Amino acid sequence: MGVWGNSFPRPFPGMSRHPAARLLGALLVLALLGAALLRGVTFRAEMSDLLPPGSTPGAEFLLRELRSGAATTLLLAGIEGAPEPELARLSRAVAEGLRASGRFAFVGNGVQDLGEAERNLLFRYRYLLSPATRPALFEAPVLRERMVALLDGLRSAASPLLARFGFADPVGAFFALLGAWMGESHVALREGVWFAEGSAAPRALIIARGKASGLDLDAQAAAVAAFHTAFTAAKPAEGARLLVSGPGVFSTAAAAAVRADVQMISLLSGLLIAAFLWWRYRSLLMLAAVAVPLLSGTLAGTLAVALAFGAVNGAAFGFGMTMLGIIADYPVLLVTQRRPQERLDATARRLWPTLRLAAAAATLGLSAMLASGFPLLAQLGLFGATGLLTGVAVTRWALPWLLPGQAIGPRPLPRPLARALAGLRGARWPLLAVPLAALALLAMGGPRWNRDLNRLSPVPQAQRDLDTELRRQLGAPDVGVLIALRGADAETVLRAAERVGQALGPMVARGALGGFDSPARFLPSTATQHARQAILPSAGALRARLAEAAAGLPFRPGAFDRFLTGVTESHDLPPLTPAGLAEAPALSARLALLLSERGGVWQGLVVPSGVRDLPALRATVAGLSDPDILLIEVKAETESVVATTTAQALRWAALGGGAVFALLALVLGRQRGSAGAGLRAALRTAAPIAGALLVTLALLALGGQLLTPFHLVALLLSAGVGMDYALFLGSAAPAAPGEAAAEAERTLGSVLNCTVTTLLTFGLLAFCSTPVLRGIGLTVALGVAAAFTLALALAPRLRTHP
Amino acid sequence: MPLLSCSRRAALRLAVLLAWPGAVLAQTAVTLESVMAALAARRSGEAGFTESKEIPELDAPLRSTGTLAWAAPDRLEKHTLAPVEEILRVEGDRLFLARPAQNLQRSMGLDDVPEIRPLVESIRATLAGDLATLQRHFEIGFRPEGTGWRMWLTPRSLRVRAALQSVEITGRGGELTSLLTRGNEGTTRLVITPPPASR
Repeated sequence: MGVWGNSFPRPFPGMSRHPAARLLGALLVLALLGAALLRGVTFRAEMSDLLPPGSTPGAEFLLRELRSGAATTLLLAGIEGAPEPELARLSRAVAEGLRASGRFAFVGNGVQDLGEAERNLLFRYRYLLSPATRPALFEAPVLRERMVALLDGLRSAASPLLARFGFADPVGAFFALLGAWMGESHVALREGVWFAEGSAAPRALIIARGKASGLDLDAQAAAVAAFHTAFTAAKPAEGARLLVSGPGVFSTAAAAAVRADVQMISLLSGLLIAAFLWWRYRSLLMLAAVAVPLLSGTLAGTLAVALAFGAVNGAAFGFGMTMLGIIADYPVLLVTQRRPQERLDATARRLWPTLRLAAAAATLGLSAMLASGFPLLAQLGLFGATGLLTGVAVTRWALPWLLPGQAIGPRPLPRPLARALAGLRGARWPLLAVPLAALALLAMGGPRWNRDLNRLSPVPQAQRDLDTELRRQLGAPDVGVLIALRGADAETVLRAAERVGQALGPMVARGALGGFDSPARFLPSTATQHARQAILPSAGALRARLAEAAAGLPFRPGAFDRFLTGVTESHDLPPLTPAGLAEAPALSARLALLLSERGGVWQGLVVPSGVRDLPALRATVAGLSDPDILLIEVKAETESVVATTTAQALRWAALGGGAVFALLALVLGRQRGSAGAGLRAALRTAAPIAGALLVTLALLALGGQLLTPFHLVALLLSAGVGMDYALFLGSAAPAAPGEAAAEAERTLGSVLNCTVTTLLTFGLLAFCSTPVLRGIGLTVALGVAAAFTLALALAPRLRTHP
Repeated sequence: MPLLSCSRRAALRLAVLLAWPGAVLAQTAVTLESVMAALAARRSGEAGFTESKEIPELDAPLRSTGTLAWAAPDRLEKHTLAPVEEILRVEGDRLFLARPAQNLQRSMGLDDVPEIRPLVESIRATLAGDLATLQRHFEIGFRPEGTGWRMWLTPRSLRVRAALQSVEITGRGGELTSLLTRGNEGTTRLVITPPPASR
């Protein structure tokens, strides 16, 4: 038995001297095209493609923030795995490297972030910025109280600090300002840098805000790279590790995870399928024959997505490529169902009506996803539909030409397997699985839908856990509730933030709310700054009050001259605005997360923490009755976004299913000459598919899988594949009397081979680390196995079969 | 009570050393190195202090008294008893401050604010006889004086020098007798006395 053929006689000897030449030539051409395509097509790993569109103002705001909000430019890092002094040294070196890279607007790793210029600016503006500025603060009784406290403080060990600021600011406005800033930070300062409080092993913390927008993925990647460069340049001690998290890392990690999974699956399933095909056909030519439509389909799918969407999302490419594994069915069906002595192009012509119908139906089902509005699903739908059509076309027209005179045939099935399959054909007992599945689904209250946006993302769980941990350690936990503000300018937004702050104050006081972060805490509105200027006493009045307050205290005359000057100067300071913060990088960095401008619109965020009475918070915000102040419940909003998307995908999937059924009825009706017969035939074909869907859903639900839109795509895909089986097994008419058994066995063999190759690919996917890939793999594998069994059980019994 | 007996032992040793200051260094010439060695040889000690802070904005110095306790390698406690009780303790890289009357307790790292460590090391590293640490933070001047010695510390860092200009320490053998700290906020003179009899 030759390697490049088999024992079948060659009907047209001499047609090709090198039997594999054309096929190998085609593979070479495809490989070259593929290389060119991969080079020419832009791949991106943008997380926003994974996000469904928002339908409510709250959802829209959230998704916009997720895509390009200020938080997307934030990178959090931890350094661990070495003794504290080394970690502190590394933290300082990395921070220095990051600052020198020029890519970051702000790098924070310890107290020294407040540079001298910034401290001077803030000190100059202390009475305009500090929440402590109130009229009573400048009256004699309070002044005296503060002077006594100052005197007491000067006796203490803290006297250097007090002497430095206390005479220029005896009322403590500057310290109140800094105190308000520190907020509820849980970061510990050791060796002069931030360390995570309460973690078992020491971990130094760094926070950095990139200059580039969150949408600029290249810049984001460069920012992440800058971290690693700075870390390497610091010559870390053995064992020291740098952990970086943030949106910039997420998209890279997601892409890497999908790529690793796809590579692993392609390799393993490729090997397994090759081994299987070798076992069944004993022909390397068969491998090449399967590879040609597969490659063509993948390339066409990639090209179509690239042309339609401008760039291919890495995740869509990965998912799509694995999904297109089912193209392998077409060449397997074609080659295996060739009758002895039949030319391959004759087989192709004979099978074409059924093959065409199956492919058209599967394509129609997937195309429904184009309209789902979910960018990734749309890409997947286009990728799959184009790939399938190309694959079937190549199988129909190119393969017969590529395999001229080549006769590859399957070896007979092992006897026990053949006998078992023959027993299964027309057996009614497997059909019991369908009502059982229906019952199980009923008992469980239907399939369970996923509501968690995170499950849709291919970001590895470990990376997400790290992010949560770093956020908690840096005192910036994930927020549950946000209050979004909007306005034509920064001043409007800041005033709104102050109104919200006034409304929330009483809630904090009575413990309904732990606290809140507000842009106005870092930069009060111009109106508030003007109001504070208005309550500052004149120099003369203050001098008199100071003298009154200091009576009997051991202060020299003129001790508080710096205070007098400071208050007097404050009268004439132009209020600080976002535009005037060039000298205040630390303030800018904090403010930027809560106040930003986009497209001429300013938006702000007030972030409540420790919400203990959500209804009261809702009522309080509603009580402001300002359409530009919006309470967003993050979890509920994202869950509703996911639910909406899922419902939409479900709707389109159902529509696709309906369209497929209509197509079946139409085509089968035309083949049979009457609409009624067509409908009956369509029902017969659809029955095993519907049963298989039910069984798959029940098994997924039993296995605890939460359904996502990706499961729906996978269900559509397995339905399309199952359609092949139902059509071929159900409609295999005997070619000639007496040949029925052989024909039926060939058909069954081809369908079985298809099923096994599909199971090998998608069964492996179930072992992926990316949740979405795992879901797709499990769904298709279960669906295909169920469809095969049910289609076989519903197939007409063969009387001629022994 | 082991703690009490320990400090009593320490007090006793201190008293002995104070009584015979020349016992150790009678014949040898006093150098920075010999003083540091003598200081390093003392593992613990306790003493009283009177402090007087002169601040330009005040027309009279602020006085306070209390006790000092030292335990090698790095624990120093300054317990102000009058006029307001305050406990300032430095141990390792942490600083702990308590003012019982105000129910105030604070703790911070010595490197949290750059000026703090030099201020602490000026006295702690001196007590520990840790010349390397002293030299890391200060330029050191030294000369024997009468029966004892005098040492000047000038911060090396410009930033620190803006807040702390110099520290002048006098001592006899392995004992400190006074510290004069000149800073931005004024001048502080700390005179070390034998421990209060009550202990």
